[in-house]
Amino acid sequence: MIITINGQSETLDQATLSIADLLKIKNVEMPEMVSVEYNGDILDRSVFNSTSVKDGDVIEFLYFMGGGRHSRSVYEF
Amino acid sequence: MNFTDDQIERYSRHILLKEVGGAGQEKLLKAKVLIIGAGGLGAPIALYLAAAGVGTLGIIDGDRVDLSNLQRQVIHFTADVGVPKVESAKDKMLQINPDINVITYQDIVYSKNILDIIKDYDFIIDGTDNFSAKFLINDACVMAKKPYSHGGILRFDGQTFTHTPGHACYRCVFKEPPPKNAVPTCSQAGVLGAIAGMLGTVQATEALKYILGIGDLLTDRLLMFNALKMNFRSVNLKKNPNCPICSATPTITELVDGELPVCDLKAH
Amino acid sequence: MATFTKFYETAPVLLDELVQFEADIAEFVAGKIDPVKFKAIRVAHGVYEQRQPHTYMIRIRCAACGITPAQLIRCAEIGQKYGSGEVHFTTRSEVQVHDVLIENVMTVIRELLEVGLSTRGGGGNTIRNILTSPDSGISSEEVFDVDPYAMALSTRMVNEEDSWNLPRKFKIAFSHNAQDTAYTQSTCLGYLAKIQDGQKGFEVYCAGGMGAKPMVGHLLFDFIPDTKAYHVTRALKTMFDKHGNRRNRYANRLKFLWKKLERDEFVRLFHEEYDKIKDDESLNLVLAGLPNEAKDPGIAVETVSGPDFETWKTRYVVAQKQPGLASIKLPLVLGDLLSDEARAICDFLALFGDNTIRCDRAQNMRIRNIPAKYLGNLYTIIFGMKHHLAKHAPFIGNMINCTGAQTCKLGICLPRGLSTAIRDRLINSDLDLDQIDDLRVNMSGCPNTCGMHHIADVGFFGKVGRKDGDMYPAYNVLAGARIGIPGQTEYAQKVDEISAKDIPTFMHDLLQDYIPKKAKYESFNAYLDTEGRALIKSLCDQFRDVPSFAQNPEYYTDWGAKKKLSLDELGTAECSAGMFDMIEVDEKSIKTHRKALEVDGADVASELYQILFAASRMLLVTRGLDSKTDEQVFEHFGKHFIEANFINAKFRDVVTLAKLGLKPELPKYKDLILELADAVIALYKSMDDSLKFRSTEAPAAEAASTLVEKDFRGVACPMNFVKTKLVLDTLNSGQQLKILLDDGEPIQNVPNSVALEGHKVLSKTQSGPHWEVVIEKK
Repeated sequence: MIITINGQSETLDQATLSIADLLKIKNVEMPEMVSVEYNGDILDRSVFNSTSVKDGDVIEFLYFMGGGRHSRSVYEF
Repeated sequence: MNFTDDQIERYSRHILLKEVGGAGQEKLLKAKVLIIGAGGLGAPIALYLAAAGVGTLGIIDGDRVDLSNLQRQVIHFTADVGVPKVESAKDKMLQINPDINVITYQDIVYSKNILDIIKDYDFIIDGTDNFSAKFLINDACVMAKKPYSHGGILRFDGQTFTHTPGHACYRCVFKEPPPKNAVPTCSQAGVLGAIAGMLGTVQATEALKYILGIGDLLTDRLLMFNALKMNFRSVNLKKNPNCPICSATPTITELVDGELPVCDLKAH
Repeated sequence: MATFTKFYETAPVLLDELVQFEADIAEFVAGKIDPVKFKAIRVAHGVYEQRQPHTYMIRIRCAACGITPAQLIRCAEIGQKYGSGEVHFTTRSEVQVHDVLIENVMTVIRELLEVGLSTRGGGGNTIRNILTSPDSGISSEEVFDVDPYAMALSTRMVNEEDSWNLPRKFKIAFSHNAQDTAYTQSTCLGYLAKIQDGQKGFEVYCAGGMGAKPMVGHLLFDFIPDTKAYHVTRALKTMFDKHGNRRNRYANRLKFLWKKLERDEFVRLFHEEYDKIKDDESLNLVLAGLPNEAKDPGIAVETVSGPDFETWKTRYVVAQKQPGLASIKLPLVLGDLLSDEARAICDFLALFGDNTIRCDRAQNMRIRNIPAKYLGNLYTIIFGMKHHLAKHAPFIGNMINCTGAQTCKLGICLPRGLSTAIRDRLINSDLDLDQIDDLRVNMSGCPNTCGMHHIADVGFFGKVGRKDGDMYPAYNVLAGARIGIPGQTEYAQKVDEISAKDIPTFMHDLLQDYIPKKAKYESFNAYLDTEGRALIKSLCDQFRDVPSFAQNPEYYTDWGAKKKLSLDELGTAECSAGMFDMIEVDEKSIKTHRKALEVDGADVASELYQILFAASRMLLVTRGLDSKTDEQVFEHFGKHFIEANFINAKFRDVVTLAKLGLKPELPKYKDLILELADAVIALYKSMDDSLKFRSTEAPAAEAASTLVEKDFRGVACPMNFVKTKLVLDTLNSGQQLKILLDDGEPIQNVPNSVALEGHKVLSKTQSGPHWEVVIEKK
């Protein structure tokens, strides 16, 4: 399926996956530091596992910023 | 308003702008802006707003200038090491523009003082570098119905948005501070100094636009950039109908102080 | 002429000119010359009108800062008989007589001429007094004596007719060493003494100047042999005459020409003139210095002793390089020397020869060539005088101030009053002022730099402060000039501003901090950089809050003023009066008589004659033509404009009619006369800034009547637009604004910018050297 992550179109091999899975495959090391905007709405952290990603979704990873360290640049557009 | 000859000359490049003009400059001179944090973000914000002739500038910071600040906090000079940051900042602001009034608070913001401080200002700018302060500033501004600019920088990245009453707030995006153990120790928090200038000037510009009533503010938009790729983009935000602070039925009704990592007190 | 010692020779051109000037004065008094034209004539003769109408100040040339005792006595007598009872020493090392009535002006000038003094070029767009280091010829530290060059060059310049109608004033200075005490890098043309390969010569700087837009002079030659001083001066003068801006009085000093042309083109145009004459040895100056030598009159030596005498010697007496001779500084109160005291001291100095007096830029009198054994005699004379500052530390007399609003039409503040207030404050303090005899504290009453605030350690220039709608006298505070390193001159920069009333305390507090620390710092600048500038700021901060008029009205009356500060008496600059003023007179006259022509029952023949006369005379001045009679006006116009093909030959007959005085014939040619007037105005418009002719252009439309008028002439882009916008802000929609703009960039830019903001530009009319633009607010 093809989704848009952080403004960029990406083709994923998986047929189904959750937001939590997506954070993993996108190598987000500290998901606690990320808010996820899913098709325009901020997702509650409690639904990361139960929300599945589908073709055409627009997803933004929005990072806390203002202290702390990340293993990689947080916004790689 | 009668500008003095010096003022006409000093602000001529503003007055020349159709969108500013004499009337706009007059608004700036009458405006009151509070800058929270005299650090990496606060430095360019304070200098540009002072230069622009924002008539009253409040600046709050409890720290003293440290040698490690000077890599990015361009309002402080080597000779200022050890001096309270607000004093050092005030000195430079008045040097760049003796025409303005600078009010200093050598303090940090916390639940008991913030509402009292922000009440006198038209616009507040968050130049802090810790989540407790960022959430506190957001909550206080929402409660007091004050517009403010959020800003954060890290490594090579920056983010900012502007809140005005009725639009998305920080908690609409980030419901609550990250768990304490998720925040890495501050000794590892590197930042490319110039990033502070890039983001601080965006925040200063937002303040000026707000006062002048011109252009489109960064309301309901989070502007993000990465300086390595030198890429800027903005993501639309929505006001969260269930936001714990800005919704119709807020769950947060009084301000609380978060726990601060010791060294996190230092602003950017 | 009688033979006696002079610092320059005044014959013969000057004498002819005086006859003319006398006739002009008579015509002016009889109401036959327009005051504007008369002003342009008189200021070039060193005659300035003071704030008090019909009262004049007369400035006397003192080449190489020198004046003989006999000459100074004459000036003192003139001051007594026709003036304010004193001689005034100026900041340009010359002397002035104040409060002279118009009917006495010519008498004064003639009496001065009898002793070899001239007022020619005292003001106006002329070669001004040529200055030197005040101790040139006697200082053991000098490279060589530069006085003979300044004297010889003055003689040459005052005898050249083209010295009196330049685009703007032209100042020349010679310094005898790198200390640059004549400020060669702050003047139009500066010569700094230098010896290269055993040859005497000069490092040459040009296009410097202070004023409201100060510029540091640029190096023109690293070295020229001393024999070329005239050639360089002559070439630069010619170049300035040809290319300088004659249209905009605010941008016509030589420094602006440099700015406009930039270095390469400026230097190229200079060399175009210089190369023509540089090898002509017949042009070399004939040096005529006065010897610095002892003349012992053999009078009784007065022996004085005691600590006061010793203090005075330490403070004011310097040994000359000539063994046994002393030079003495006599600090004057604000440059004023009372006539009777001038006589007393000059009578004494005359015993020691003619070469015994110089003026300095701090408005003090310098005495030289006195055998040391007579110092007691001099001390007794000086301390027998009342009006001097010799009992105080030199710092007190070194403060420089311009005359300010007391006499000057441009003055905002009264720096004489301020200087007095500072002096009173400091001499009544316990500060050790002897520590700072080299500290320069200079003040001007307005942004013009007569008080030399740009070359001060601490400088002030007057401005208007406003509080709750009341105006109070205030000053900008500048600090940190760097003088005395060739090529590295820097002007003092503004640090802050302060009310006039707080300055004495400000100065006291600043000096109280500085004096004990002086030894610690290499220079005042080092002190400023480390802590002084911050202290100045914080002191100004401390005084920032001026009490309201109700709280303390004293703040609103300047030092030495009798009433609350007002700008009502501000006038226009005297010294820049020139060609364009005279042209404007005729241009206005054309307009006036044109209007009169439309009135029912107008004396058509007479109005047409006036139009024809004004049109014919208007541009004669640009050809250097001066006409005594109406007939001559028409004759000159016919010859220099019609025959020279600047104006169409079809107008020849009508001009001839006027020349023959056949007024009644003129109404038949009404249309032709009006067309001629238009043609002359169009020709003027087509002239470039140096008032040379170019091809003709189309005339502009007529101006509409307006409600609000603003004069933005002399205001550069984009400040003129900024100010226009601010005025428009105050108007209602549909209201009209008329602004005056300079030609060139301003007229090209401002109307378009106004239109871009949505306002309507109703008209643009060229009027003389400027434009009138009428705008309707959106």
